[in-house]
Amino acid sequence: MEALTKVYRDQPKTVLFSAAAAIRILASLLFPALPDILTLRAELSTPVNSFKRLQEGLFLYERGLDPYDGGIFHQAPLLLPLFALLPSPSIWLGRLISILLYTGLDLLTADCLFQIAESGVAHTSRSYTSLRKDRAWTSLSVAAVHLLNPFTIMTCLARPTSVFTTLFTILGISHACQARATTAAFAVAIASHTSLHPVMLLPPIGLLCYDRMCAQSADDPNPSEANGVVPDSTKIKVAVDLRLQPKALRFGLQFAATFIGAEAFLFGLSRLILPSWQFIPSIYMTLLELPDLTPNAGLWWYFFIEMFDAFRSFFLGIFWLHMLSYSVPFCLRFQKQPLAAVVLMMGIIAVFEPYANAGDAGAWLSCLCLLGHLFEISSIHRYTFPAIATLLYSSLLGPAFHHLWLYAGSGNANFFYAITLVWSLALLILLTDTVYAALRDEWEAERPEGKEKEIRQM
Amino acid sequence: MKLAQLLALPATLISAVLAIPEYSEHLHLRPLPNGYLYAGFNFTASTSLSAYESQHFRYFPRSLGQILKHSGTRELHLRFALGRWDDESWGSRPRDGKREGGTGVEIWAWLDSGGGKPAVEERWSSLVNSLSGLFCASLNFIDGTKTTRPVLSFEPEGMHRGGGGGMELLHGTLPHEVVCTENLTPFLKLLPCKGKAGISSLLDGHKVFDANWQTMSIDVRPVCHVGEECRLEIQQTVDIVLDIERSMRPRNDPIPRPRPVEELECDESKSYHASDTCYPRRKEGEMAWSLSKIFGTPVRGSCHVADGDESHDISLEVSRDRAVEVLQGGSNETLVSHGQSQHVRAIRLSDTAKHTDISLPQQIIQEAPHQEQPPLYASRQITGFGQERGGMHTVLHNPHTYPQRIVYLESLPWFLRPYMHTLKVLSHPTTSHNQPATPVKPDKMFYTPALDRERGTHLELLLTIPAQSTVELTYDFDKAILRYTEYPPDANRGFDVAPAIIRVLPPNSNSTAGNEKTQDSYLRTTSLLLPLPTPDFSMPYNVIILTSTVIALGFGSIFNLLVRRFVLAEEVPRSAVAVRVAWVVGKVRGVVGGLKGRMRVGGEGGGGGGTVVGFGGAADVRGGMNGGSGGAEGRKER
Repeated sequence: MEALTKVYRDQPKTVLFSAAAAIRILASLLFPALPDILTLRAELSTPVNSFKRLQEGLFLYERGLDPYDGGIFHQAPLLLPLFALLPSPSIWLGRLISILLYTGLDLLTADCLFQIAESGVAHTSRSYTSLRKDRAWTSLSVAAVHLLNPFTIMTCLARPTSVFTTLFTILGISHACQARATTAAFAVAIASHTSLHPVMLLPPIGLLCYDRMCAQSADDPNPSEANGVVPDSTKIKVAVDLRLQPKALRFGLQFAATFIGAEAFLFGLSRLILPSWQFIPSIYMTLLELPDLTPNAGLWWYFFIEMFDAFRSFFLGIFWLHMLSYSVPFCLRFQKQPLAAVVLMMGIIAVFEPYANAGDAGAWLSCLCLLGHLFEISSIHRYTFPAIATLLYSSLLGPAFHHLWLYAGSGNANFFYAITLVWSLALLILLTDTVYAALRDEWEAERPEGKEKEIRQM
Repeated sequence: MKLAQLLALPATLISAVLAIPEYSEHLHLRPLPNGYLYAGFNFTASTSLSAYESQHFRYFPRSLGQILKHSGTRELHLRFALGRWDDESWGSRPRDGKREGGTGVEIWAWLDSGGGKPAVEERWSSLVNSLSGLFCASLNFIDGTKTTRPVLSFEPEGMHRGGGGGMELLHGTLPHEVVCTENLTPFLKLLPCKGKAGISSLLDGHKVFDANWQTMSIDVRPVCHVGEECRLEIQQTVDIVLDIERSMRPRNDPIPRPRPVEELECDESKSYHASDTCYPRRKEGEMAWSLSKIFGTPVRGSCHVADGDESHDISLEVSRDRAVEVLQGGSNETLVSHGQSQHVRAIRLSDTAKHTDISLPQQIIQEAPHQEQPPLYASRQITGFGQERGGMHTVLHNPHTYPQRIVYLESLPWFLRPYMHTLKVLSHPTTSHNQPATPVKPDKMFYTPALDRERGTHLELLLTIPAQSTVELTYDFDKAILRYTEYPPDANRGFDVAPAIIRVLPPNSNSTAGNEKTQDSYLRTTSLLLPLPTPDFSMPYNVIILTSTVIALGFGSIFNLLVRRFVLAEEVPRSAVAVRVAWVVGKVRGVVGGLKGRMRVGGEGGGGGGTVVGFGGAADVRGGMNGGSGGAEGRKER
């Protein structure tokens, strides 16, 4: 026991990561049917990320047919050659290998989160330092939340391909935190190639990257300290020569150009392995037009089942414009806290995406812990407890109502619809609370006398 | 005696006469076990291709001819079917299943392929829409989602110019269509005698659609004979299996109701036989029946319209010992078996007699009726439970001692999403039970995946079924949820899935002894009912309102936070409205207080009146002061 404690004290990260990997592998070994059951759950697998549909796409791809000339497979083409290398997951070995692959992806994501938390960008940016920066969560706890989050574990066993999107999104953020513009843009390009939404993360991630580059150029005399390490508070702040800082417009254009170049490269690469360009409408029009109305944890499916035909395209446009409308306002308002803008935008995507799933929500909840120093504000002044209670309530009742509707026949579609509505509402409340907390934290940094006092909005 | 050969009988007679009549008709009758009767009507008309091109129609129906010409149809096959052929007790299918359709309506045609894919689709659409009007069927609902292009399952029956090049096969099914009298009437209208004379006078909607199994078919194809001009031939058939007892139910009592007790035939040897219990006695021998009792009317007159039509009109396939009486125009004669075959007796309708009837008495026949074994037994089911997903399970059983090659065709609606990577074909030998199942690899597979709302799934497998074994074919599928406007009014009934079509290929001529079949045969499984998840149809407004509320809540609260700034509560200036309200409240309070005081004073007496008024006045002043200070603050802020 003592040896164990000692190991934990010396190498906490190794212990955490091996424990998380062990949980996932043991779960798949002890309950061999579990991965396949979770793969079929509507809350985890949607038409655009389901592992079973990926198998169908692979089946067609391996026989030389165009997997996109059909209504089943709508996932990124580059996944096909990757999964074609693995043995079929219908046998135990293939299943174990796929679980190992997804465990690896989860560990990489957790490591990226660890790096982001280490860099301290959540509470310290170029022109702003939070008063509550000592209350920030340790990097290890953030990684632990991601690795031990039940939503993440279940997603890992269900093996949806949106895990790749999550990984590359968070990888992009972590590179942006280290002021590596090219790799960050490339990672976001891969993420938006696999599913469309991470495009909306491009402005906040660009902002984050720009912020870090400015901070680095300011600390240029001794770059070893500036590289991802929290700036020493005892260091005397000298005036920053603005002429030496990178130009915002030029950086923005470069960042966007890198993104577009990477995207074009990925499209070209995909075209090489496929017989036609059919994959572009098959992947992206499925997201834009929502032809497949399979129930999921989001707000779109039931709305568009019940929508009158004449208004369908109008509301599709409205829903997409609504999602797009957040990206730039967040960047403008959270200029001083670019990571908060990124995390909040991820939240918007997790709640409002057309094929929402619990995996994306789980990844967002883990990212939210990067803003751990803000929880104090939201728990005092806002509705964090009711929101988390509602999340628990809906995640337990969701599968039950799904069963009542589709299997027992003792409930109708409204049961499951109501619970997805409650789930989205709880996530939304959590999101608005974080917006409030981030804004208030910034305000209190300007006016420290306002701490703990009642405030109004004007 | 093989049914196929029998049905070719008129053809052999025709060839003997040499001149091909332009119109001929034939009815084949055969009692089936357990009190059923098979009746197969066949009407064949033809016209020379040159007459067809110049639109001269004599016996060939003009209405159909014009449709075919307009839509560029080279060969047409149209089927209307109901019920299930019971292979287990009725044996092999009539006409080798070639004139049979899946439940509902089935159509396939070879169209001119000139002009590319859009032109062919245009022709197909024009064909099904015109036929829809002609046959009063919903054929116009055969759109892209219900059309497939089979590769192996069908081959043109006619002899086409250029060896069948330049034409394209399209196949459509409507499994939900309920075939009924309104389809039979236009069918009879195509005949030269319009159902008024000849064997077609027996076809009455009440009887045809009361059958256990019935299929109507129309086949148009070009036929060429050596040394003659090619002709366009239309073959119309109606095949029905009637329950003899049910059909003979008297016409004056057509309502199905329990038989009176005294008419029941009970097996009195059973121990539980009593006055209130009855075990029906097994029918002994062959039932008595006659055409007029079964079809409600005898054959009226004859329909010998074409020159050179010397063939027999009715053939009856019964045991040699069975007594058959023919009542023709008042004369009653016993029919003896035809010289060529021991089992078949043929009748030619008299052109003079008004009515012809055939009657058979009840008789006990020792000889067991010969029945040909079907080439294959097939059944198809949906497995699983719940409305989210399911599985398809087809069982193909080969009872013969030689392996058979088959083509298995499925055309599935787009809302059934099959996963072909889960397709498993397993073979179990029926001779030994403990042998493990062996996987069968399809020789060929054609698969066109479905596209949502555009195209259905087309799956075609070329399989070899080993001798005396059962092959199971399974795969998983998802049930899609539709938009609420896409559900029919009876949404919870489920959706019909078209039957699978199985073509049994003839074995190679030099292999497998003991099998003289050289023609391929067809069989179809029953159609399936697929329950889909349904939304709540009463809720569109509620859903739109509730979802929009949640989204607006998120949007509103986030942008509310983003666009406004924080100030301390004590710094907030009071708005003009708030000041005004506070002033009014103060005023009201003062007045109320004053009234209360006055009432109290009224109770006590006049003494304290001054104090109360003063009190009220003070309240009034306080309200005013509040308002004043608020206003001052507001002004200071600005």
